[in-house]
Amino acid sequence: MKYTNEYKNHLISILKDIECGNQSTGLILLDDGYLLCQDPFTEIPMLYEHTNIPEPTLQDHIPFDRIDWIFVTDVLNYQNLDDVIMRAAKLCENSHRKLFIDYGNLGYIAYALAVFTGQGIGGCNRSRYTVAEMEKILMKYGFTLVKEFDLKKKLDEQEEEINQNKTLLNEYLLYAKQTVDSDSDISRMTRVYQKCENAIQRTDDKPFLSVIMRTQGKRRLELEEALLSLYGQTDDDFEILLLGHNLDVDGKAMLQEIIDETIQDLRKKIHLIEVNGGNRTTPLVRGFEAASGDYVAMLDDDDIVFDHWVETFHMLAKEHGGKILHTYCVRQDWLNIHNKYGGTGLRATGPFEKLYCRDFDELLQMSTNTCPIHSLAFPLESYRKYGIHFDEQLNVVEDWDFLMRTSFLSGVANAQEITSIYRIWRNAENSATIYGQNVWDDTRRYVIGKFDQNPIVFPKGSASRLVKIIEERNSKYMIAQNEPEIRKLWSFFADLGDEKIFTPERMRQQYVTVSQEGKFHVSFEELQDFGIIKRLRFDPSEEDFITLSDIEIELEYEDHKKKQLDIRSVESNGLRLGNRLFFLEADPQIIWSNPKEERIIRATLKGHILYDLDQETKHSIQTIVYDHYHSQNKFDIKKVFKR
Amino acid sequence: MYTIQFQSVLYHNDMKGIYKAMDSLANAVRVARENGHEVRANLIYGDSSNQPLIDITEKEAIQKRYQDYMEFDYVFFGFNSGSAKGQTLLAQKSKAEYILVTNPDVIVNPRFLVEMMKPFENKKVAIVEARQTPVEHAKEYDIETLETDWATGACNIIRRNVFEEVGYYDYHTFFMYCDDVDLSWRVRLAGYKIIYQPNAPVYHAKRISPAGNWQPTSAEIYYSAEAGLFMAYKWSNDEYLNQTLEFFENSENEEYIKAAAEFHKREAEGTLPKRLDPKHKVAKFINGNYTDHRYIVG
Repeated sequence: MKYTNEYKNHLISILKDIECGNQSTGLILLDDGYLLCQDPFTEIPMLYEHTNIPEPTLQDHIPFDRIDWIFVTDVLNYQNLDDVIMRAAKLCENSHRKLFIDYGNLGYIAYALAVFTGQGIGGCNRSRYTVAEMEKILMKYGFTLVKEFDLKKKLDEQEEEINQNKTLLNEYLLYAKQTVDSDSDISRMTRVYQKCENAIQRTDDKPFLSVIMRTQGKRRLELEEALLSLYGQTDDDFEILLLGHNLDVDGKAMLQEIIDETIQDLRKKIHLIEVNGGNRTTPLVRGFEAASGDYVAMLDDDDIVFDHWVETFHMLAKEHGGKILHTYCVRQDWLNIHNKYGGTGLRATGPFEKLYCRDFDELLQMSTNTCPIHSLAFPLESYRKYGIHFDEQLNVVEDWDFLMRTSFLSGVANAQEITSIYRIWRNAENSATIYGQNVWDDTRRYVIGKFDQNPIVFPKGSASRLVKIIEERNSKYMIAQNEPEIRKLWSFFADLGDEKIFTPERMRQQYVTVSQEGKFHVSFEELQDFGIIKRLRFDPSEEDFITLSDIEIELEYEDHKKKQLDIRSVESNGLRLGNRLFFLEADPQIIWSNPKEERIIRATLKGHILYDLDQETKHSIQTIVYDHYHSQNKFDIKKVFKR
Repeated sequence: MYTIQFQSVLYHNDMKGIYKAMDSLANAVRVARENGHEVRANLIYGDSSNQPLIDITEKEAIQKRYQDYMEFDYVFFGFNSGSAKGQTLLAQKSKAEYILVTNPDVIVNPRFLVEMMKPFENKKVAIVEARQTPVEHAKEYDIETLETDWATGACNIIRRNVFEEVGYYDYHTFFMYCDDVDLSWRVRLAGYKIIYQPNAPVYHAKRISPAGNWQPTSAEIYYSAEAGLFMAYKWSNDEYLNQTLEFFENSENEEYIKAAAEFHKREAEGTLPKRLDPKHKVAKFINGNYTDHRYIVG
């Protein structure tokens, strides 16, 4: 940089501010000696003018007892900063002396981008250190910050300096650099430090994983069970930050009682932090601030994890350190039940649904979140260093927003292991029931709007996937425009009663033609090849908001006898209302059991199916379902449902 | 005041997991006492591993570790007893009022005893079963009365006098599976009730594959199949027995074929068990299960 008059005046004002006047004496440290400085106001700015620079001399008789200041600057020559600061530390030890450091920041955005793109910086910056590096060296030798006068450039000044051209690359680099380096706007680090004799030494004794658990102190047994599942972990390298949010007196007492009753080895891992005010996002923010692990995972007080939850994250981190870690999760329906022995018992009411057993998909995730929060562990570095924080304005999808903004920089590593269970409480409030559809829709739009603010980098392979998505969309549009029917890919799975239930080995796929009115008729042939099928499963789509009605299946056996079954004997992961099945979630499945212990040669299905419901109809269905579960006066669903 | 024996059968277990389980039992005793229970407990392990898992030094260290909460003992069987025989041998040694039959790696909740002992206020209740987590057993129970048709041997508390009255586990018939179903049905035939306690979660580590289903071992498949045949025979369900035998004999699964062969072998030797419940008052065979299930796993 050019040490202009402007900077000289800036320096003088700093020196005045710290009372470094002509009554002070200082030593300017050089690589091979010192410069005695008896009039800092005059002599220091002269250095920056590169005029009348005194010859560097080795001083034999330095009047150390009269030295008030130690100056370290990159103005005169290149320095091995570690050595210089070490010498400064010795000079400041057990004395009143302060250290004044004025150093260019190698990480300043203009320099960093100019070097990155090969343009160079014309040799105008002598610094070879970033602010973070310098802070680390200073901390190493026990210096603590007294005052800061960093020269920071505003965004428009930065853009003017780096803006050789407005390419997309420059735009992305600017965004990335500003995100990953919170010091990127500092052109020169200008600070005063003091040697602290009892400086706390950093230790490496911190856990791998910080587990943040939100609780409002209302769900005792659920919280006990969540803690039990943490005690059962195969890998004990974690701490628990139990964030009591808006606790009342009873809640606080309950939490303390639970902690006191917890097994000692687990109890010593628990740190209870009370959080007041804010919304459901606020405890997460506090938890991340308090976390000390390399990674942070989040559990609600009603979640449970398998015994290798921590172990799987740990294993993944060893290979993909710095990335978000993602594992698989299953969903399961549960009820709270009150029984004669008091309290609230918990009861599982459905099987594990593998909705969240898929790798993180960068493209799909832009539209829909398929990663429950406890299937993820976040590198704490991305929070602390990159400054990616939770958006406390959000009441819903705060996890999706945080996940995506972090993933844009960190990327995601996957382990194909099911390590957690997402419990859906069918008779309790949750965010899905508290907030109406309009809140969800508005928040989703807001979050996507945030994604739009900056360029995004996708991993390798994304181009061809994007092309495929566009082509499928175009194809669907053409079919809808030009043909009376649509074709959908159905999957069939055979369950033979062994351990290979519903695996790809027992699968067939077939395109099914569906009329404009939604009528379909499909046969799956030569099923005797599977052997005796115990159960037949059909997946009519991967989409959500599918409705099936008037469905029937005809099974034909090897002796050519036939058996008809209808909706009354079907199992599904949808909601049955009368003769209709509603699938509000993706991956709908319908299952019939084979009523005979005989080989089936053909299964023929027919009925009506609706895809691609409009938003208004989706909203109506959700409202009906919500009211059906919560209303004291159950009404006839058929009468109010409108297509 | 009550006395309870915690017992389990070891078989080549990882001791880290066993210590966690033991710590949880001791903690449950502590919490029970803090909640007013006068309880005296002892823990005993029967080891059917090839070599002893716990030597004398470690046994003494464990006794000292838990001395404030429970007495500890350890027996090396010297042979692979299976769970049925092993648990029976341990129970026969006890004079306690209650026996906790549990898998050695099951970790109990701090309030385990507080919740599990509540149903025993009813004298007709003979067995109380804990709720397993993270994978709850899908079998049905009455939401109001909490009565259930059978209790798993993974973790349940039984009145010792009832255990003795019904003859403990039928280990001559069952090696590893269905010993608990069989015991439960005999308990119910004797006029007692079995309660499922959803307020008492216990952590029983299980994992599921990315396809979302169980990953049983070859031994588990075999012993489960074999047990199914003996159950059908003993509990007088010839229709189910014949269907299952035919299915196994025509299967390509080696374990199923082996199980069918073992049944016929015992049939020929005359060592099949005495048949019970000819009028099916207690026994239920529903879609391969021994009671109704709330949902299908997988």
